[in-house]
Amino acid sequence: MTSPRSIDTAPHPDFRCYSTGNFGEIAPERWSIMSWSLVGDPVERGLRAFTRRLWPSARWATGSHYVFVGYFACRPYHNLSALCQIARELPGIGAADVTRAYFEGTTAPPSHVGIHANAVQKLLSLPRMAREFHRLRPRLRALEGDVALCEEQLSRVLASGSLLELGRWLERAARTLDQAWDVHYSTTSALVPASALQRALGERRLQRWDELEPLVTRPRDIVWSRLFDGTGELPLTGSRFLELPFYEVGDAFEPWRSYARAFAPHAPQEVQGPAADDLADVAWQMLRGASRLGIQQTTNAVADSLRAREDSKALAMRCLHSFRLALPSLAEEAGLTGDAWTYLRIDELLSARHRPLLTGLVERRREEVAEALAETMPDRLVWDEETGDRDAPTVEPERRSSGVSPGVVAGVVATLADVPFDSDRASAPIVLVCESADAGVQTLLPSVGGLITRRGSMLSHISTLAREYGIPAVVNHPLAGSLRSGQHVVLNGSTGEVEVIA
Amino acid sequence: MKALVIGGTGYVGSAVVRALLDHGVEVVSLSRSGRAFAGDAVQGDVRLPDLGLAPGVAGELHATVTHVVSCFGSVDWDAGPRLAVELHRDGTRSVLRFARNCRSLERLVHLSSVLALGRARGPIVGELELGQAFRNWYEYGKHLAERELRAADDLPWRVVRVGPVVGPGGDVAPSTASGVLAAVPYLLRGYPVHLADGGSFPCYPCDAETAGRVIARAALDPGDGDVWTWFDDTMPSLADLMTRLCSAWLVVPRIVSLPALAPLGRLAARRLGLPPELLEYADPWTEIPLKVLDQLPPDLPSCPAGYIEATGVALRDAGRREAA
Repeated sequence: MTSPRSIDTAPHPDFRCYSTGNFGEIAPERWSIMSWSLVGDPVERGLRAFTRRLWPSARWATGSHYVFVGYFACRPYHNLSALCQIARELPGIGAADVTRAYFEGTTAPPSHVGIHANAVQKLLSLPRMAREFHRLRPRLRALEGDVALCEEQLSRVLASGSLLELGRWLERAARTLDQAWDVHYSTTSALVPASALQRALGERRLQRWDELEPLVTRPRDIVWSRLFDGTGELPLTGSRFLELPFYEVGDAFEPWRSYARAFAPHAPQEVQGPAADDLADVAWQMLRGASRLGIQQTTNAVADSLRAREDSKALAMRCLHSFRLALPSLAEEAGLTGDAWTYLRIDELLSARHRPLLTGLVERRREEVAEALAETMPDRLVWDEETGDRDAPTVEPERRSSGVSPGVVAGVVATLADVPFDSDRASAPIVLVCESADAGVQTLLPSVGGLITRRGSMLSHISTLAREYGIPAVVNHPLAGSLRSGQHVVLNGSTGEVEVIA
Repeated sequence: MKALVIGGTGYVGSAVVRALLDHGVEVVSLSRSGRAFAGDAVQGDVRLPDLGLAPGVAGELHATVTHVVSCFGSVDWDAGPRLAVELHRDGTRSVLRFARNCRSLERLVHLSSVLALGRARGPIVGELELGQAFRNWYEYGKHLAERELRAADDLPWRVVRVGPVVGPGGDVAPSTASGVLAAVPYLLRGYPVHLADGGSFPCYPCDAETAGRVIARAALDPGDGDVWTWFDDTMPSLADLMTRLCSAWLVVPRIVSLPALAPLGRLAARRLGLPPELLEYADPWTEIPLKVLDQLPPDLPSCPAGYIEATGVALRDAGRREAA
């Protein structure tokens, strides 16, 4: 059994299967303790609030353990068992819908014995889920205001140098950050049943839904495009957060810097040929009135939710960036120097009574972190029911590659090590091959012609972005780990096939 | 002169190959099978870089080809969006890239269809972008392909638009697998079919063999004219076409004009053996005035008399051979 570290969260007593899932796709592999406390804790609170709104009496989503997330050896995990349980409480969907959407189609863990929602309970959750959907837009609007206010206040507080003001700001900012993650995970969760309904309708009503789904399920006017091309420049703080790694606020310091990477925006490639149509419009016009009834509305709702998900993500990242700016001042006030604050949780840094002990705590944490980072952490963790030992599966879950953004492209492989790309000199379109991709990689997308990632699902951020940019993309492809720069490949973003041709 | 005919083993492509050979042009036919009914053959695939040609072959063709004729593509009206995006659009992009590498290129001819206009309204002469909707992904695919070509300002392109291609064929026989001919088995069963105005609107058919000769002329003609719209100048209506196709079986199709039957037909079509996508063509098609033919060179061949009836005979004989 691995020795418990104070920085590790305790595994849940019942929900025993953890997976990096979307965290693994979009964030640095290891996070500082501070970053974990600014993401993991609010996500846990957000998902608990979400489940409480849907099932007020669900005891499985309560308790003194982390239910929905975990942090082991500085690596963030989702509790796959608990997230699958959310799906099992809803009518018409199951754990496989969760894994399909966010966990690369891996096998879902078995249901926890003793927790069974009956049909009536499931049905009762439907209107509540509909209410969640209904409330998302106004909540997002309110959040936009809160985040802008937070940024505006921070610039004043930092200019004034008042510690009292900084303390007050942090309290308000923490509430906004909680809200941001709550909205983000409500959208993320609501997308699972919405896309399951969309798929059920599509498969029943339309021919070739498998081909149509990636074409029509795309958000319009995605927030990142506006931010990156400058038209969405933030008046108060600018868009500097885009140039810095997402999720990691301690990115200025080692060892966290080596895990986090951000890329300078690339100029869009000169587009040859005519402008592309919105294929969703083409598809809907083809269908006669009655046949598109229901499916078009559901698809629009899914696409809207995808957009809301990206919006809320951008707001959460802006919030985190505000913390990144405020934390050094706070640490200085607590008598800490350099990178010490990255080894503390936000509540520890804020709590006055801890201050005399903080230096010693930081030193202990440094040792634990060094030990943790030396450990190889798998994508999936399972705790043995009987022994309580961590039983990392020796065989990685089988990956089924899938096309998430249609189109065929033949091009030359480039990896993140080749950034910046010189697309003008490339003999063929650049096919970006990477482990996974967050919105941070969005800066590179204008200059690439295709995308292959080793991880990802239909609803991953990178899939959403690829569809928005019209770049053929294959995610979760086993070859992605072995492709080398300069190799010629043909990828099919509809079927998920990748062929190496030279 | 050396012409590369992409899709040279198809219904129209094989006719183009023969017509070009008749003009004394050296012809290389590109197909996925790598076979050719006449002239030389190379194996390739428009979805692959350099048309899927081996590096040596591609280099040699880049140096010697003077004319490229693009006749590839499926005419499956039931196909999904992949056909439009991956085959028609991306395939045409590959052809354009290949053509840009041909150092002595004199002409690039692209076989398009009047169906690339989708549900466009009003008399259409040479326009493409009219904000129109489409009946199916085949139409949209042809539209995308033509759009790609029109944007290639740096290439000496010419588009030949034809309507539904019928005719007894030469190397390749007509088939009821797709396109307008897919309606024939249903019509022969004697089920009624609803056509607006009794199907009296034109459907711009043409003969495959003659189309091959016209496309060959489009490749070799040095004159102006980017878009050649060509069809049977007797302008058979859709009802005419169906009636004459069925004449080989001595069957008169039951064409009715009963709009109330349309929704019912949609429900029962597949069960009765009628591909439902054909029902989308029961209303008048895009209007193409006869005067568009005046813009073409005056000595172009016309469709031979009786080619529609001969299509029916070819289909009937093929069916009998299959049954035997």
